[in-house]
Amino acid sequence: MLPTPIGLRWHPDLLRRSAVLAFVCFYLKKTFSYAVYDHWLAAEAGVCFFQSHPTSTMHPTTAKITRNTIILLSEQYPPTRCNNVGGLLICTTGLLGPGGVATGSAASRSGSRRRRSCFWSKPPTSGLNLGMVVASGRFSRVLDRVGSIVRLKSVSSLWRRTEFSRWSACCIANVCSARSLMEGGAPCSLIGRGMFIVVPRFFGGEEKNTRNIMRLMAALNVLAFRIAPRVVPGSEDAHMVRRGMEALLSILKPDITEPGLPPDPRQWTSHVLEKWMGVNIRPWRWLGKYGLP
Amino acid sequence: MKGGFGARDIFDLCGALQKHVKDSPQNVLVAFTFLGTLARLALGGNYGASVARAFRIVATKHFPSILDVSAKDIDRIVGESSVV
Repeated sequence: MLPTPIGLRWHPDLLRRSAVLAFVCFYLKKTFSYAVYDHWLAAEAGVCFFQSHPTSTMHPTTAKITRNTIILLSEQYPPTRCNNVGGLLICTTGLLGPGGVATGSAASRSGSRRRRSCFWSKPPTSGLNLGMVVASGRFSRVLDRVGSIVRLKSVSSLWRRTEFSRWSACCIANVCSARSLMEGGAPCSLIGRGMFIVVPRFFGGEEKNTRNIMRLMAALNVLAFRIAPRVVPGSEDAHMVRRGMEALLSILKPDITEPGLPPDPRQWTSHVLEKWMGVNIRPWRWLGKYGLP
Repeated sequence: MKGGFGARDIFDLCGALQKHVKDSPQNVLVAFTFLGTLARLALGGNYGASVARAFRIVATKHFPSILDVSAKDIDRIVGESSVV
């Protein structure tokens, strides 16, 4: 029997049971987190695409982003698991400057550094490493930065003060790698450079279109979050993925007409934001089947 | 739908593509080829490989020559069609 500071006595068997219980709780928590993460990525995420310029459609003077919105800037962070789901997630890569060029140098490195090295050759320090940042109703401490433009250097300190750093790190890192993957030179109007957006699906419409949207967006999210970190840019796999996604988009995108994604993909951002601000759905309500509220 | 992206989603995509075989066979061929790669990369491991094999068996019903398609062939096919 082991004495405790408060006078209770722990039986060794009780200690073993407590240890087992603690392990089970930890395992369940970890499993649940991953499940929520994957579920959200595959089923809840609605629109995922790239824009040519980070501020072309998301400029703070033209798009007011208010509650339940998370806008993130790219940074040099390794992907990690996420605990926070919900909210509009927008990632601007801000890779326009010479210091912010993602080189995709995964092939030149090995081992544990491989995942990280395919995102950035070095932290961006010059050029247009700017982007809109950060708003979320769930993270009130950063609400004062809504719509503001910050340099990438200041983002890391911003993240350290907020709770969503894990989620942002995961998304940003994969966004960067997705971009480096897609920069293989293929002319494509939809998968371009600059901005990557994932928003929960809140579209209605016919069942056929809803399912097509979900399939397409699930594939796009898988491209960004799973395939891109695993593929060496410039490789045959990367080439196959790029051509395949282009073909997939060209086939399925014409089906996505109702309830009105604009025909020009570059207008999707503002369209989605307008919808978002009008619908005003609580993000945690999306965790139903296929994200239907 | 529980869990994340899996074999079910890939075969869902396959089913959606099957309706477009007559409209744009070249794009569908490229997409089918990609879905095999998608299964291998997104799912990973032996499971991803087995899903990719199963998918290719389905795809060969529509495109018997899909097993011979390489990245260079994809470029040629894409050049013949209008992708995006």
